Amino acid sequence: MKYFAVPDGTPAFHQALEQVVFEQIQEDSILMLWSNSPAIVCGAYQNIYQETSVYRAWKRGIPVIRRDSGGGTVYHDPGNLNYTVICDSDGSVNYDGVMAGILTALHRIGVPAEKSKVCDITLHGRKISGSAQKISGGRLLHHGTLLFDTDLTVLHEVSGRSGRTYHSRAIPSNPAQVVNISQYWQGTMADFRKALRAAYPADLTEASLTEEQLRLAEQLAEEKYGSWAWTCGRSPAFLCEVTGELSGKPIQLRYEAKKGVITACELRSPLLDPHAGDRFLGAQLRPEAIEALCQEITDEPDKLAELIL
Amino acid sequence: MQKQITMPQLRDEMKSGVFCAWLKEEGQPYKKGEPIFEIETDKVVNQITASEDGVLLRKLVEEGDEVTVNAPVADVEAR
Repeated sequence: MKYFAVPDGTPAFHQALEQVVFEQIQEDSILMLWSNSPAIVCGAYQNIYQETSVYRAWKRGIPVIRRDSGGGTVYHDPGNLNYTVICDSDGSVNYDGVMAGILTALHRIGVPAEKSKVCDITLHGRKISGSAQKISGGRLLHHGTLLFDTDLTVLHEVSGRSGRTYHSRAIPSNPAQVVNISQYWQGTMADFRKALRAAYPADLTEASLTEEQLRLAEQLAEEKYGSWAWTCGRSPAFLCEVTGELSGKPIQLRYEAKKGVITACELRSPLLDPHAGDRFLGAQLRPEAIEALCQEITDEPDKLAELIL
Repeated sequence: MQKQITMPQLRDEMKSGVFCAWLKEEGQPYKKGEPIFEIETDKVVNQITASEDGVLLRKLVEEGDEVTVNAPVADVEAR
């Protein structure tokens, strides 16, 4: 097994780097350990708007990223350690084989973690890790989160959406009660990373990425993972229904979107023109665009924008 | 020879999977080993590759459909 040190970079760069390693390095199995600045990362075929408030994330400066693998939405920050394992695959679903390595490493450093459901890891009954995979060309990419000392307040603030209904064919996330490993393990994140790395089998050898691979990852980060078309435009068509309050009066919102663009929109509020929804037809579901349209019709554009996004 | 491609079973417990995306269009030829479509089951996105050269004749499912294991997803012409 080879261990590749992951250079610092944006969340989009790390997703891109993982794809480059998965597609370009076909021999041997691979381990990578890496952390991001805060980011919300959703599954390949999820409706991003159903998973998190894109508007709230934008206001907080937290990027929303779509990854290449399946599964649900996760929150990354410097207190979360991501692990990636890449190995050969016969095409079948194989979590146990890959997760045995990470579970053994956790046990060796004294974390009594257990596998839960198909591909979660729990500690004393609460989730510390979720994982997902992509299988392509006889290779398997498995990645997972490890909540070490993640800011759980922010995690809860950006996870899930309440008071609204979505109709779509997207694959929704399954919320779970979570806990940080640091609550039960003494040491810093650097200690944890080092210990986990050392707990892997002795045949783990250091390897380096080439300049060309790093350059490719930078290009992919910009063209794919940092792009609106991949991240938001790939959301399946959906219908969203929301009820809320605007300027102390009730408001009902109902809109349809395809490829991240509003195709039908009704806004019902005693304070708004009955045709106010028409202004949003054809609008891309981008925070800055929606906020600008909201400014045209209400004194509380932030509130209306967050109802929509 | 005309054939049908079916939804694969990727683990014993798998009863169905979400058909996520077509990677070929109707009328498009493909080579053995090329990915034809993507499915998701158990948080795994799996690219299903062609077992032989052929042409995609007709798509029988749409992106987003939940498809039962072994149900046909496409008519193809094997070459």
